[in-house]
Amino acid sequence: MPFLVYQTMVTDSVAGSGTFPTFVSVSLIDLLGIIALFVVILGSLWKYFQWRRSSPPNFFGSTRRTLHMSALVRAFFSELWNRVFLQKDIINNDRVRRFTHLTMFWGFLGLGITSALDYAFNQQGNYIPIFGSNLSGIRFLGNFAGVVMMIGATIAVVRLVTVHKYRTNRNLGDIWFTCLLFIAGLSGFITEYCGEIAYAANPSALPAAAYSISFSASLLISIPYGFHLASIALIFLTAPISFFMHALHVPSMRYMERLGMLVSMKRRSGQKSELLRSKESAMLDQVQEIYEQKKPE
Amino acid sequence: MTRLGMVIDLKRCIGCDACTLACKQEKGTPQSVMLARVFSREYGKFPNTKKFYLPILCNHCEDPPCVDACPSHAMIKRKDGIVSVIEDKCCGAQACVSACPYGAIYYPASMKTFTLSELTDLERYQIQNGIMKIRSAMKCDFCAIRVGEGMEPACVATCPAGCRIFGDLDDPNSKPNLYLHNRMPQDVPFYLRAEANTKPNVIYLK
Repeated sequence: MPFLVYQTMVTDSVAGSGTFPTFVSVSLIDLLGIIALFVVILGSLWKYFQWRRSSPPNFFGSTRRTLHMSALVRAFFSELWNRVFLQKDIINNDRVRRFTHLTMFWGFLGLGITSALDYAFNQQGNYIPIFGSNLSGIRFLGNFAGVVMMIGATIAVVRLVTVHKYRTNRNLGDIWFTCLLFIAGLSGFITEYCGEIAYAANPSALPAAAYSISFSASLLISIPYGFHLASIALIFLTAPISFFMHALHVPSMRYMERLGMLVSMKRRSGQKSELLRSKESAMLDQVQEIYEQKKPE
Repeated sequence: MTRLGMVIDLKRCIGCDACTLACKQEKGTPQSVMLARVFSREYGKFPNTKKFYLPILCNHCEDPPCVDACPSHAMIKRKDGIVSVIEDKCCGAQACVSACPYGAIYYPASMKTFTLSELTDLERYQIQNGIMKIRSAMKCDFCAIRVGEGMEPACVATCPAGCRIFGDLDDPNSKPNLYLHNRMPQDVPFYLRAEANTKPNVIYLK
């Protein structure tokens, strides 16, 4: 596996004049990415089992019996589009907060897509000019998404500092997540700028895939890039305990409620969601069981 | 520490729904929202059938999943043990509705008003003065305002059978603790859906 090959730094570039990717190789970034993904999956599973413990026991069975797989998939994409991408009916009481939330979300998503595209089409970690290359679209999307995310993150940070009410409504997990997003975005743009300068000075530098870790990169690149990587790593590594998890938790909860409504509609059993009905039924079953227990003689 | 809670003696409940109505009157909840419901179920085989009533309300859990689920921190666990909604903070994510194992949290589909056609004078006043938000999650808060003024929650004060006993569960001399202490040996205290591990503060007595 490529990311397990830890090749010590071998470079022919002059110390202090390396290009932007020379600080850490793509293989190390890949390794970090896989660890981050693993952490997010673990966090999601933890949340899921927490909810599963308190979910009604009959709900999943009745959902599976009543709804076809196509209905489950349709409901999933409908929730994904309306609740997650468009965020309909959410945060309607504060326009600035809604705008901030949307921009941070869309920016984060755009950066995620950019990273995936970069991994797919630029595995060597080559320098991509923003205009004039086949892969310029990837870099352009990354920059655009970064700007969108930074608009939201900057407003959020400014509000955290200046608006007392907004600050008191946040807890440590929210502040941590918001600040990390801001630092990741800011350090990303600084790194990119410094990388441009370094590449202009030394266009023949090796691509990132040739190294594990290089100490020959300019400090102007190493410091912001170090911050950038560290903040992204922290965003994912602390995901299970930070505000990050709400992005998966809240839509999942809404999806369950939606399934409950679909089952009720299919059975024509009124406006009450099947999820609520299952909860009530679970409580009544429990009490009935207690009543039916034989008294000790 | 204060830990407000309730003991509900199922033997005493006669299913009269007085608690449901008292709650609706106290809270002015919309048509589809009932924060204090009473269910009934028949069991056994004819001719040996019996019926029990089960009053349901928010269990004001020590480890409330709704608080954990709320992305905007509108759902809070107060120092006195009451779990309540800060309407102003509610962003409408509705994660709390799904997360609650007791189905005790509502998010009205339409406007959160008592009548569907028009606002009452009280609602108009509350909305204009920022006291009430037209759309937010709703749940039982043990009538926090009444409790703050030294009264009992409306459902407790109204129950004609006296099946609801309200007080501080951390105080050994409180009404619910004394009630539990003096119960008959065959009376079994239990929590609803204990498997959810939410540590409820509503104790049922069979």
